Amino acid sequence: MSFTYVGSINDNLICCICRATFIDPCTTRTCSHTFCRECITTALSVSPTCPVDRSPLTVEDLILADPVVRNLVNELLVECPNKAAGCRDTPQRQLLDAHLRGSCEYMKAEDTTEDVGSNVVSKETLEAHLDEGQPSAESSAVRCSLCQERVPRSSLSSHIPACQDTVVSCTHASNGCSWEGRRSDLSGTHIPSCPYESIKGFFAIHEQKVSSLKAENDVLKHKVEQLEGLVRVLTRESGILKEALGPWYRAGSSGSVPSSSFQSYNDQILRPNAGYATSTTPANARYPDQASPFDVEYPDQMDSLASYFPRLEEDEQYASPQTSTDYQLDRRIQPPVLYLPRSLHPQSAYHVPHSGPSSSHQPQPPSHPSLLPLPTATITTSTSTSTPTLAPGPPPSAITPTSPIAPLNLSGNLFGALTSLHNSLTTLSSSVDSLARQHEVHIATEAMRNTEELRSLRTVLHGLRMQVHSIMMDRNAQMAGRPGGEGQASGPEINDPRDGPWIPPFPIPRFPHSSVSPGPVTKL
Amino acid sequence: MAVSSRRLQKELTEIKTAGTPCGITLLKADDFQTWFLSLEVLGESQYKGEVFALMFRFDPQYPISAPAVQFVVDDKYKAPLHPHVYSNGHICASILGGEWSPVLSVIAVCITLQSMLASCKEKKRPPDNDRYVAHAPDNPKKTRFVYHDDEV
Repeated sequence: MSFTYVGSINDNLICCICRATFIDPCTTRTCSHTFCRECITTALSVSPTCPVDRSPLTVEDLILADPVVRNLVNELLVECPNKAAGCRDTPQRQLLDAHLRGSCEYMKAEDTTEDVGSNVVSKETLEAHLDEGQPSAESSAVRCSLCQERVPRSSLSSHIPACQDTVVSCTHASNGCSWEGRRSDLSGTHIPSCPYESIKGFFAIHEQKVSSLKAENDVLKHKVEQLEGLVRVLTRESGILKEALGPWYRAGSSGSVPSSSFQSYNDQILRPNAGYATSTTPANARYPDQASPFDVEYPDQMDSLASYFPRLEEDEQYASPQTSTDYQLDRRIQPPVLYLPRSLHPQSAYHVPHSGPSSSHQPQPPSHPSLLPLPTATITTSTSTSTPTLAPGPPPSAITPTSPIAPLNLSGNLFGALTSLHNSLTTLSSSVDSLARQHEVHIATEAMRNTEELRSLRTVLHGLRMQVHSIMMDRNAQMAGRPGGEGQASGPEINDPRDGPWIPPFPIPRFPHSSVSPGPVTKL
Repeated sequence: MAVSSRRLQKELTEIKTAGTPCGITLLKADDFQTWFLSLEVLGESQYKGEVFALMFRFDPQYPISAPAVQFVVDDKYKAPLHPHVYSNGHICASILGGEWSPVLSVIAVCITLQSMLASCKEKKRPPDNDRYVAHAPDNPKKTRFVYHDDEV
């Protein structure tokens, strides 16, 4: 229906699709844009995107527009369609219907015998007439077909409601009375005997109650729609959260409101709505009717996560989960299995190889038989190199007793798993610390030993030098006939043996001079 | 009145009261099937001084469905030399196809085409111009354009 509005309309009340004032406005839940219900429904049937910002949109995301907007639009003043007939009324848009049905005096009259057939004044045909835009107003006198009175046509429309011969139905027809007859008979004979007349007070009260209930209903409907929308949003979000939590979701819900009942309640309420999107659920026996992609991956994830951590038992700590004996060839991408090196384990006497684990690790010949694979190559090589050298020496000292790494407990809650991971990290860091300390100790002792050896070598060397020197002295003395042999302490200083390339004091046999003096004082 | 007529009536009233933007004028709008508007690119551009004409064809589903828009090619007007405009006047523009929205209007399309011409760096025909024009349908909406050049 097209209306002619009085005055200018605020631009915010214009639908951007039809460029007319909103008719039954709806707002999108996702992006808060408002359109006429018909306009947006048609637009969505062509392209499921919001016409304003092209964000994804479906019919389910439409809710009734804000009551403020609705009221603003409903209370706009429109001209009566019978304006051409003379009606100057400008009722509110929402009251136009009532005006046309009841109070408009210029409703298209029953046509006379002169021309055009008799049109029953009904709303539908009136609209059809109006759409063609053909109201007619003439002022010639015509005869009312019923009471044979002569009336000017322009006042025919006002005459009809008053004409005594018109066939009318009882005033209480809306309440059920089926009487029909002439207006004169209505007041005269029927009303006193109409059974509905006597209880018209009840009808009025009843009518009031019904209308107030209807109003309440509307409000409640609106609320329900909002809540449904909220529920949908929350379900979507919780689905995302469930996915994000992964295998910990089940543990998390064990202590909370029983999710099964909530979920089924959800289904009951929302399933009748077409296109309710079910969110994903974990592989849980409580949701048997909801398929989800998560179901398939769940058991796999459990295993692959658990294999990150070895079992808790002593012997099995070094035995891998079933597949890792051949872990390099495993089809599944096996995460590096984390073990502590045997030397760091409290129970390990490293020189006593465990028969069990070593047999299980035969496919790895390069590693030391008492050492187990670690993801970091550097640690393995250094410990493997250090252990052979220490083999003859004392057993490795200061073995820090470390607790074994606990396996990932997937049946606890997320916080518990994180805490246990943290503890494992602490354990690891402390074992790394102790490893570093041991390294330091080893290196220090080696360095010390080397230094000692070096010193002793130096002493020996010096002694040799002294011997050689004295021999040379003797020779010189013999050769040169004892001028200045031993005892000569002065002479050019020769380099300290400690600095630089030491020039050996080989006496260049020069007869008149003595050779170089004996070496300088060696300071140890 | 059909939906399209009412909406076009509104657009026409708006054009008549508020006028058209600079460079765009209404040439002919007698019915609600075909409209003609003229387009000129103002300011410094490759098309300085050239005047083009656009033909809009509406179907009963307007504005839900996009109008068929093309440059007029006759004795008086030519199609502009642009990598997205074919020599028969057909235009390869996303808003005339997949990216059409009922919120857009005739004026909005004109402005978009105006800016498309203004931002053009090189005047040339589309690479497949001859092939396309030889087999082109009469209505550009029947063509399945592939939009992949965003920088022109």
